[in-house]
Amino acid sequence: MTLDEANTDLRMRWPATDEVDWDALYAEQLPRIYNYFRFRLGDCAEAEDLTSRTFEKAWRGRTRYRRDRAGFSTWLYTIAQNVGRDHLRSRRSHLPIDAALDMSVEVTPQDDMERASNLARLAALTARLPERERELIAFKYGAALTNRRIARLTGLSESNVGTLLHRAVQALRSKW
Amino acid sequence: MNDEFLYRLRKDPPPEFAARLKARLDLQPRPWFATRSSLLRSVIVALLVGGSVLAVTWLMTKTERGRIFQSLGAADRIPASRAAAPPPPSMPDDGQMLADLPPARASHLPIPAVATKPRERVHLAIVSSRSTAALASAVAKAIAKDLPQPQLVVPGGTRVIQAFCGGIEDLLPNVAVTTSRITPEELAACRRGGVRRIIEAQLGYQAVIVTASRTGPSFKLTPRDIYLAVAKQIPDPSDPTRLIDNPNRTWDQVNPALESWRIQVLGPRADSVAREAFAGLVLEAGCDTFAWIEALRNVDEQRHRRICHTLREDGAFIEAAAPETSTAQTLMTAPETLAIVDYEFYERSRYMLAGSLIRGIEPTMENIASGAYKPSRPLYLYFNGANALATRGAWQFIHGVLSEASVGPSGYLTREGLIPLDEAQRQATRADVQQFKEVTL
Repeated sequence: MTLDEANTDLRMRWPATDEVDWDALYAEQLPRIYNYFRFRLGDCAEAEDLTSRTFEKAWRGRTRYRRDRAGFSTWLYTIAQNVGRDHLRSRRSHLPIDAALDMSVEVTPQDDMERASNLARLAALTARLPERERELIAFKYGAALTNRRIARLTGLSESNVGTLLHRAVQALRSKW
Repeated sequence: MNDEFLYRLRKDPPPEFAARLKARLDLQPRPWFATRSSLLRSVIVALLVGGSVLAVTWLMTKTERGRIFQSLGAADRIPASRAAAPPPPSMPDDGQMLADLPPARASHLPIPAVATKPRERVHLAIVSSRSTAALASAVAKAIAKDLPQPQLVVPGGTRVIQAFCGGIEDLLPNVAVTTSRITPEELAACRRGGVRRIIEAQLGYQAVIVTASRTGPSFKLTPRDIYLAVAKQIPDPSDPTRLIDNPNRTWDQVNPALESWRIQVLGPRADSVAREAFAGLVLEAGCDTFAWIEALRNVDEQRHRRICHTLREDGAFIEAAAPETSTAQTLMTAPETLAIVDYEFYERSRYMLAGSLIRGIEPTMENIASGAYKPSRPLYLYFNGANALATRGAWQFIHGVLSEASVGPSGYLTREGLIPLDEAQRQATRADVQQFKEVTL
């Protein structure tokens, strides 16, 4: 079973809002949302912060969720998209300060060093891609969603998602 | 680079982060309380609650009290963090107190009539102001490992005591955590409404300090200056009853008496305890200097909050993600930056800071305790002496809040911006609580 199938399966098992297994939902969605932000930002500390904001917003609004309108996880990703966009908008206007903050050296365990370094490099390269492609990369490789699911979230067709992702990865590969 | 390589860049969230977030989420009310129930469910619930809670509550108050006293006596079976939580020595008989409760009567405050027995809960419910919600959550998380998750309700505005005494939604909270001391009018209204034995414990203080690097601006500011510098919208100087997008770029545009430094303020992130404190203690004081905005507080609280609390997003106000490291670093590398910091950070970094930039009295411990330093406030806990022992987890929560591990100088609440009381005050507070000494004003 793929991650996305598991996700669909989880949603299928939700009978009603007040019977949702919130613990299972949290365990299932936390790594996806967290990695979505890591791929969007290339920074773990910020990813934690935005993940917290997303879940807290979603949990606060649990009562407004209606199964017949959208899957809860779809709603969760919509919140994540908005939280990410708000954050990036505010971060862009703070570039001088952020540049100063970049002076800090994050000490990570040896095992994580290479991964962190690759992620930072990827973030620097994806920053040059159009916003839509950056979002697609984060959904595909961060949140580990299928093209079909990404298509539903972004309003693009499934084939369009595949094409855009293919081009985006090629562009990244050429500059890697 | 291929798909496999990109997927390998994923990693699991740090376990401590996942646990911390989960604990915070668990403190949010379950949807059951807020979802609109069907008519059938309402009828069933009403019948069940109305018909049986009286008897259940009576049974629970009797058995629970006995159980808590029993378990507190068996220290070897109690986690170390709570083993030292003795029961109060002079607890009045719960059944007697509940039986003595008078019927609800009209009150001068808008506190709804108290339905005493039917709304008593066997699980802990905490009502908190926005500014203290994170503190309450931190304590609940620390003490609630093997207790039912408490309900945390944040009614907003100034209604904490009203919710504590009168109930909110379906809850009658056992504990209130707030930044405003109960007033004589509120106390009288609570007693008229049936909550007659209220115990007060001061937890400490909160203070907000605006500072800069030693090489940065040295001018003195008023809360109004700060509001006009960082609020998203401010009154139009040519027509102060109209709001405009904040056009100020330099401090001398805010106030001609100030120097021409670029406005750049580093402050706490939204939804944090420190941000609430900054908004409540500095921004509101600044925006309330405009009489029409202040008047909104009583007629349209939401709009008042929106006007006073909404900050610029154009770079003049920057949210500090990790104040401990990035604030100090930013102040060193960008000296025109002002920073909103808490007392602990200020004291620890005093050597590199220009001092408090808020005009008036310095933020010393004495000035904060006496209230002379205006951007500060005390923090209080209230609990209902009539059900503190009858409610599972309530006494543990109260004991947990007042423990050294919580409100002491190295307690975990200091990381949430709490300024501890001195040792003698902490001991006196614990003694009063232990004796269930009623609040006197």
